[in-house]
Amino acid sequence: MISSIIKRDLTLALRSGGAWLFGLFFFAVFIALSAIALGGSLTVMRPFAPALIWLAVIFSAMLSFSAIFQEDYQDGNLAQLKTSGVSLVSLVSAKAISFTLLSILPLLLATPFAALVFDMPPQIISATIMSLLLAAPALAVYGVLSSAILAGRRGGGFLIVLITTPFLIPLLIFGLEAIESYTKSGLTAVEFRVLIGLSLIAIAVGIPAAAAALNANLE
Amino acid sequence: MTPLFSQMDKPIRLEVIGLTMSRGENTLFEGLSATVGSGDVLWIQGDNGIGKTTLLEAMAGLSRPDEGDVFWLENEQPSLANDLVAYQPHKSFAKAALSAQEDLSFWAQLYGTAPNVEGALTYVGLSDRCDVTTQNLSAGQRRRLALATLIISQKPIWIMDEPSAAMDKSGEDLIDGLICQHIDRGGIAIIASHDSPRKLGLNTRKLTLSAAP
Repeated sequence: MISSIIKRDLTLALRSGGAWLFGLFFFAVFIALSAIALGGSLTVMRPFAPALIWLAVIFSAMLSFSAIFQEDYQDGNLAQLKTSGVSLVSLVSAKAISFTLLSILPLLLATPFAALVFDMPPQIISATIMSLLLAAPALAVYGVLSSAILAGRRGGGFLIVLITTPFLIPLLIFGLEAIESYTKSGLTAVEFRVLIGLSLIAIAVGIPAAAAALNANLE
Repeated sequence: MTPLFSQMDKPIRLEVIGLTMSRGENTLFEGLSATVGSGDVLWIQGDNGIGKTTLLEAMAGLSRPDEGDVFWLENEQPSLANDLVAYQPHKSFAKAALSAQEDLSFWAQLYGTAPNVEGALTYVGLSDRCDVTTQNLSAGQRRRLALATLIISQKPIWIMDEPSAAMDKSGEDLIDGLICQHIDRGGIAIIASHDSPRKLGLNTRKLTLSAAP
């Protein structure tokens, strides 16, 4: 059930004429503009690089949040999915997985290239990718949750930013702390464990909450 | 291969008790009660905006009534709408970028009735349109695809919102044939329509919603 929903989402995205790559494009533009804004000097930019990459990932993911359930709500697919007897928890999980694959994974893959722009040391590059990887589940779940809460409401884009920002602040704090500690204690740094914890909490709380929000919006 | 119209052994009943629903500030109807059982056809008629779709959505478990209850009973045991109801909305819900076959296969996978896809497409007259994306189907063909989704759902209660809109004569005959097959096997059909109700099966009834004088 979950796999059929994911498969359909991926097929639809690939046939959307590249619309799913919009987030990646935004990510690249954000990095390029930051480099220009910081004057292009590597010694100035290098310390800011992980923070800029993190911000680029968060903003770019936020751009795609509202789209997660929007189309399915408007064209009646959500109502059909509900009457088909699919459990909403499975539906929400499937959407979180396809969001990770379509919107977060491309950003992770692009991170090494962004790192080249800032001339980041290899150790920091792996630390950045690692911290983003561990935070990805939380990012996806909060996206799905906010989109489920706002499914069917107009002007959701602005509210999505308001709803998700408080959830994303701890991720941002611990993500950047983890990169810093990586140089001293590697993957055993406690911040990495905090990131894993934040992701697990997001899954445990966010998935049922998103299913409940969706159910309420479909009644 | 599983038959397209497998027999439904358990008696099914849909009971609407004292239903009151409104849209915004407007009360659409108050205290509406009705019972439909296996083998029944219920036509719902009424002018535009009178609340037909709202009533259908309540019967499909897709909107919560202001007052009153809807019960879906299988074997006299209360059941969930999701287990018994298939809903065909007024608007096509086929994904534009998928072919008719892919779209139907997706729903078939969810319902666990994948072997029926070819048969259902042939039954509704889309066998030569399998590989056409649904955005390139005509409005009537998309309605036919929605009928195929009803067939593969294998649910006992069919709730249809204007199934014959945009349909040609053969499409209307197809709908009548489908409903007859469905009630013969012990299903229920509830149809909102502007057509004059036709007698399909032994127990055909009409519910007319009209504005209060």
